[in-house]
Amino acid sequence: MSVTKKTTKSPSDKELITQILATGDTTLFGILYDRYANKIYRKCISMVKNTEDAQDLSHDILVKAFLNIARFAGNSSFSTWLYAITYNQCIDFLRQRQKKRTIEFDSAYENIDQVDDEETVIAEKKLFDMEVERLQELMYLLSNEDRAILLMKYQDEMSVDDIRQVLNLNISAVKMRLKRARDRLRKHYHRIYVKS
Amino acid sequence: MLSNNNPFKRIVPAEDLPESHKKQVLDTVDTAKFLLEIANLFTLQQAETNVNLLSTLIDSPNTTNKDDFKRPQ
Repeated sequence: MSVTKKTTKSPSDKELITQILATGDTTLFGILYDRYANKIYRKCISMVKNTEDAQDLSHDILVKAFLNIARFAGNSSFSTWLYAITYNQCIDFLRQRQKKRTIEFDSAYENIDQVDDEETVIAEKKLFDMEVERLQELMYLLSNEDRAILLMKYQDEMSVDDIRQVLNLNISAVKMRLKRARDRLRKHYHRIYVKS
Repeated sequence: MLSNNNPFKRIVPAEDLPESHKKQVLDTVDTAKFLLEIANLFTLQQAETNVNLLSTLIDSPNTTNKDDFKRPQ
């Protein structure tokens, strides 16, 4: 007697998107919602620090994703594309909320073209030695852009190339922004915890 | 390994969206889709229909006077 095993494989993101584009069926978008909505929500909380705003933002991000789904070219993964919308929407929201915030510009970084890999590893080790509560507190002292790029790199573990696509920058600019963000985080850490 | 120690992984919020959120999103998506279809109907499809109608009338052998569809001089 032969037993045939029937495995039901859930469709990939790209397969679902193809079906949504062909049929316009919003229930299929519900499957993508189940996969990503909570991740988007948590990302929004990390960015805006407020659950109500994060819920509204998640709503707007998901609706925007559906309405622009035809523009998803498939060059990156769907999650990267979705995170690009998430980060950009959160940064726009925070900009509007804060109206104006002076972003510190350190001219010392102006002439640096390349970030040394060894230096990056040492800087990361120092960051990773921070206590969780302190890190959480310090993240909100950073600018929205710095917070976003650190979350993309160290929480989402996105590659520099993926971050480049999200922020529409070149690779060296991404590395530079990461270095600046790490340095600013360390500066805040030393100012608050080491000096006191 | 650096990733074993990564404190960024431990500052991910634990909250979940409320159940009602999915319905709200899908309702908004349905409404937006409906509005886009209506807009499409009254713009692109309306123009297409007008062009088709006019060309049918002009090409029809029953049309007695094709000059009726010409602009007055």
